[in-house]
Amino acid sequence: MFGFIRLVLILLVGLTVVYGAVSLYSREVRRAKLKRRWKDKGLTGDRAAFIQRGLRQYDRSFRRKLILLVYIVPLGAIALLVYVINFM
Amino acid sequence: MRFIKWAFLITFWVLFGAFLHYTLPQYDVVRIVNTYEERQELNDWTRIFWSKPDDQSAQLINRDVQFIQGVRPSGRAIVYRNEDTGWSWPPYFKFDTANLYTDANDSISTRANPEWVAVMHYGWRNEFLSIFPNAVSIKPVAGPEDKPTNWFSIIFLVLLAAVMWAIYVRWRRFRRARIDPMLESAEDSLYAAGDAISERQGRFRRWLDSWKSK
Repeated sequence: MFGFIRLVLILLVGLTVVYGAVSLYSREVRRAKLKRRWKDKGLTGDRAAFIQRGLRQYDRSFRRKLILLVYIVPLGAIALLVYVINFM
Repeated sequence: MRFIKWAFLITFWVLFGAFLHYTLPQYDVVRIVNTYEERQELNDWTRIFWSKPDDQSAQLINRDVQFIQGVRPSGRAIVYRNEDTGWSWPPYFKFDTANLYTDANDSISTRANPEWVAVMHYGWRNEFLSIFPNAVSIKPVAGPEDKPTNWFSIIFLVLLAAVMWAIYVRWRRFRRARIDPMLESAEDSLYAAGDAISERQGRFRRWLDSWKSK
């Protein structure tokens, strides 16, 4: 049982680091995209508000939730492997 | 220097390849002839080739291990160990050792009336180190030629190569864009500093020389 707890703890810590890094990276990419759109379209007005609104939309988007796959894929793979190896 | 670099690279990739070859699953088509259990001493460095099926087994210096004896279609013998991998490395998550032992005993056949099975296993057989591959699953097959395709290893190796290539390309691009120019500019300023120093020395020497009597 201790082996299971150790594996889960190590995985959770590692995956949380990956999740945080991917989240930050993805948000920065979105911010750069918004800045580029502002420049390419030659928009005028409040640039900071434009970017803030774009980022708020991103925060609510489905794309951002896809980052949860960082947890789902490895844990799902382990569950599948346990089933295939032992019960199939 | 070049020799050391190549020796290092070759050693690294050989060890990496050996690690993958040991850990990834492989299939053997064999005829199972017997199973046995034997007490194994585990208190030397070959401990790394045996499993840690559960938490208390980490402290044991010997314990009973199940073995499955098989014969390949060529007639050569192969012996597998049958151990749980539990939650530890390699990540096969095998807990059904007792069931697999039952399957193996159920598949025992004679040379006169052979019954071929595909044994999925990982690990190496080495007679000098007395190490055995760990059998993970046993499936009946049609005949000695009917070896299952190792889809998992194929897909895993292709994905691994793709990921490593992606990282390598990005690293090379990063080095070209960021590190090489920095080294060059450092080199340039080093040369510039060297020139400035020799220039100054030249002036100083001329000034010293001007005191000498002609």
